[in-house]
Order: sequence, then C-alpha cells, then structure tokens
Amino acid sequence: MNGNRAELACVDAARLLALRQDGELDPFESLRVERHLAGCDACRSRARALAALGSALRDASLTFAPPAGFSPRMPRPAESRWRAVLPLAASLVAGSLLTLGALKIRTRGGEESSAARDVLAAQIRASLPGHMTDVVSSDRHTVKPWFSGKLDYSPPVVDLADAGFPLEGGRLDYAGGRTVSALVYRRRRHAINVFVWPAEGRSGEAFSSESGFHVLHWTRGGMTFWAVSDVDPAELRQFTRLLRERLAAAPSGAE
Amino acid sequence: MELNLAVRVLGDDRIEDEAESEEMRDSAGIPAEARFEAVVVPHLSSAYNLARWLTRSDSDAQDVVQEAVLRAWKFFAGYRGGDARAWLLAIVRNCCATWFARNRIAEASTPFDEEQHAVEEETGSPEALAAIRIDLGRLRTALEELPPRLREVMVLREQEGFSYREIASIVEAPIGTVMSRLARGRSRLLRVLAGEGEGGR
Repeated sequence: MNGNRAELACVDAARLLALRQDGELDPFESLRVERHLAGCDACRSRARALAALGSALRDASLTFAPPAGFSPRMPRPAESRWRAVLPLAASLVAGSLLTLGALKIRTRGGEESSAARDVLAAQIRASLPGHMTDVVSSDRHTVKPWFSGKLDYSPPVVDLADAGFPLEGGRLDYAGGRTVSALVYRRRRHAINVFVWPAEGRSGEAFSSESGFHVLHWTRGGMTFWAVSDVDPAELRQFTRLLRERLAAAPSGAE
Repeated sequence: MELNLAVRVLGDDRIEDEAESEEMRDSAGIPAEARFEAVVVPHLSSAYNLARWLTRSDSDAQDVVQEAVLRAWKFFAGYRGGDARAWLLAIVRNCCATWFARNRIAEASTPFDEEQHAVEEETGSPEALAAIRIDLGRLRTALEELPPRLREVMVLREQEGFSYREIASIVEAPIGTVMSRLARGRSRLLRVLAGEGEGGR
C-alpha cells in the first residue's frame, strides 16, 4: 500500500477543484486538495482559471436586469378584500418598482434626493409583515427612551392620537447614510413613518410623490424630518402641520 | 388545509382567484395576494436574468417571467416557506422549457447523452489556462452559445450562487448530472477564452 495514500493525484485534484470553487468540499477533501495545491503549479493554475471564470461570469455586463418599466401583473384580491390589502399591495408594488430600478424621486439637491430614495425604500421595506416596529407602544414615554443607547441622538416623539394619528411605535432604520429613528403613526389603515435624524437644512417643506407614496420633508432645530405615507396628501399635510405645532410647543417631545 | 384555487385570467388582463376568502388569510390576517407579492417580488430580477439567458431575448424573457408569476400564483398553496428564489426560479426554468418546446428549439429537444459527452471534456492544459485572458465580450457570446442545459447550470451556480443540491432541484436532475454539466460548461467556456475551438463545440 502506498504510504502516501492520502495524497491526491492531479487527475483527482482537478476534478475536485470545481467543488472547491463551489464550496462543496467536505473538510477532509478540502484539506487534501489544499495540500495538493500547495505543491502543484498546474492545479493552482487550473484553480485560478476557474476562479477567474466565475468572477467574470458575475460581471455586471453578463447579468441582465429587467428593462425599465417591466412589471409583471400580480394577483389582486376580490373586491371585498381590496380595502384591507390595498396599502400593503401598493407598497409592495412600489417595492417591485424599486427593485426594478424604475423609481425616481424629484427633490432639491443630490443629497436630499438620495435621502428621499432612502426613506421611501425604508418605508416600503417596513411595509412587509413584521418589519414596521421594533418598539410597539402608543406611549411616547416608552418610545422615546427606547432609542437611547441605540442612537447618538434622541428623536422628538409627540402623541397625536387625539387628532386621529395614534403613535404605534418606532424602529431603527437606515437612511441618509446612517442609522436613523423611524416613528410609526397610523391613520386608519395607513402607516405614516416619520424619519428623524440630526441634520441642517431648509425649514421650508418639500413635498414629493412617487408610486402612490407622498413625502413631506423639512428641517428644524437641528433635526431633519421625513414624513412618508400613502395616505392622501391632504391628510399627510394635516399630520405634518399638527406634528410641527406640537413639536414647536415641546421641542423634545416627551421627557 | 385545502385551498381550492382556481386562477383565471380575465378578459381585461387582471388575475383573480376564486379561493374561499377566509382560508386565504394566514393567522396574521394577511391576504395571500400580499404574501405572494412579498415572496415573489424580491426575486424578479433573478427570474428575469435566468429567463433572459435561456430565451436570449428581452421580450421573450419578459413573457416567460409573466407566465412564471401566473404559474407561481397558481401553485402558491404548495409553497411552504423555504427558499423563495429557488422556488420561483424552478418555475421560471419550467416555463422556459415550455417556451423551448413551443418555439421548437432543436438544441433543447435533442436528447443529451450524458455518458457519451462526458469523455470529451477536460479542463485544458495548464499552459492554455495560464494564457487565458478573460474577454467579457467573448465570454458572453460563449455562454449564449452553450447548449441550454449547460447554460442554465452555469447561470444558477455562478450568477445565482445556488448549491449543487439546489440546482439539482431546480433543473430536476441528479446532483451528479449537475456536476457533470458544470464541468462541461466550464471546460467549454475556458476553451473558448483560451482561443481553442471557437464556438465551443
């Protein structure tokens, strides 16, 4: 019996190189192959070629993205369930447009438009079941402190339940290149997300709409606010007006 | 739980189902249509990429993906969680097979004798491999010209990153066959890039 029966011959190693490339070797085979490669130029050359081929196949010029405007028809529920599913379906359809790169947000400035895209994408992600809130509470005294230790700032949280916009909770999200707070309010079946993070900017409100979502954006007191929802624009403006009034009265929101 | 799904495409191009409304909601009260979108929409890009590589046409790829979405909805009751992308792409690949049959593509309908062709393939000499310059344009053409059964495993492995087991499930072939097709696909592509055998026979 050959004393080196653990050694691989090239012909066997060559066969295993594809499995190595594909991460399909078990630990024992993997050790044998690596050992063989350490001492075999020919197989190292083959391994490099396989890796180069793999990388090249993943190049952007060899993968096809759907053309702009491609949007396969999705099933729609019967009329009786339409009201229930509309917000979610609308957000998911909008999500599909985002996925397919067809979304354009028109706002002032490059940084702003990128933040606008971020908050809209975040809103849509949040619309998927289970993703809306990390802290579930209608009590601003619970929601506001939840963020401490998670963010280097404390978002102002106000309650608007008496005006028909109850607080549902909050979560961490990502927008404008950083982790941010998202406060979740509800208006009937619609969610209104208010993304808040420290930034400078114009105090005047910017309004935009895309794919059934409406976005109101302003900056005040060192914080930038993005209110995003698929409620109708009039209600979003009403919500924003109330929010700004209450914040002006108590800038930090809850204690 | 029985879900009696009858999907019909209406004259005005809407898709509706006739399922019992109660059973279409899961315990969180989310309708099946919304769950379906959440499952399928994130993988439409992958679906399109696979369909585009197999049909080699933008418009046909779009048609195939639309058909696949219809079929996936029809069989949504059979989706029990798990890898949604693999589930959807198996359906896309199936729709491509139908497309091939409908378009009478000779290469796809030729029985592919796995045993016979296994002998020909080699990874190539080290000298040739060392001389390889990855020319993306040539690679794209070479991949397009691979027989569909080799092309699909290359896309599923290298671009979609599926495991051998997952690929075997998607293309409905044994794992050994998948490995063999990958070896042949890679061998042909490498030979084309090394300048041997133009067209990768």
